[in-house]
Amino acid sequence: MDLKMQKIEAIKTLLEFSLLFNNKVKAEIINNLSKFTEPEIESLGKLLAIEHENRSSLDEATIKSYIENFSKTYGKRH
Amino acid sequence: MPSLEQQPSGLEISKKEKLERLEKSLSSSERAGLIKRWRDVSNNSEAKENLAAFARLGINVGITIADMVPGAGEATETGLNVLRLAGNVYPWLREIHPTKSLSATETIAVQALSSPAELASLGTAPTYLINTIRQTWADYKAGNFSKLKYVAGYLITGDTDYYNKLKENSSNLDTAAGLFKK
Repeated sequence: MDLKMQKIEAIKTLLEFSLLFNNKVKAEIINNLSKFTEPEIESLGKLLAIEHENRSSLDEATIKSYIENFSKTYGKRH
Repeated sequence: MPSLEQQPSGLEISKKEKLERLEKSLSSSERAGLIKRWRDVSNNSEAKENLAAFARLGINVGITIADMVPGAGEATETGLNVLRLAGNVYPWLREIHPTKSLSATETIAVQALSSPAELASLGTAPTYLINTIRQTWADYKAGNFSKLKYVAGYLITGDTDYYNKLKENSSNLDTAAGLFKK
């Protein structure tokens, strides 16, 4: 399995337990993961990794800024 | 084509359709999750006991308030004592009784000893409060409230399941998050 595929699988695992997105958005992301560019996969992965490592003390402002950045880059292409 | 015997009757079809529609609407909504969570709680004896203790507390508080109404409280208390005595013969009655941890002798003694207070207050003294406190204390000592917040949390959000699964999958998640650490 190449690195991109590994990262996609890792995102799926992290997404399953993420509280950042509702189930509908999660399904939308999973269905479109193959269309994501490398930087998008990286930024979404980092966002979910940050959430996982800081579950007990999430900094909402940081998380929000990551979400906004991700939405901006993803939104520009779609 | 199914034989006539296999074909469901009109009534059965409408029932089947209704069930299918219900299933569809439930599976596409949060209610499906709530029904599942409720079933999970019903299948867990500890969770069930926690909910029962909470229900007992609610019922006992209600009876205590009703006990302030002259006549109504005494009638309810006497009725409950009769049920409590009957519980010695029919154990299921004891199980559903709001003061299941107290003996019939205790509850009757409380009613008898509090009679002067009831008479002096013309039936407005909430003497049932003694039973409420004793039952609540018994439930608390037995740990019947310890998991209540998890049960309620699970019923409302499914969180208990979420945290259990999260614990089980922590190493998988650590590995997945590790890929994005650089």
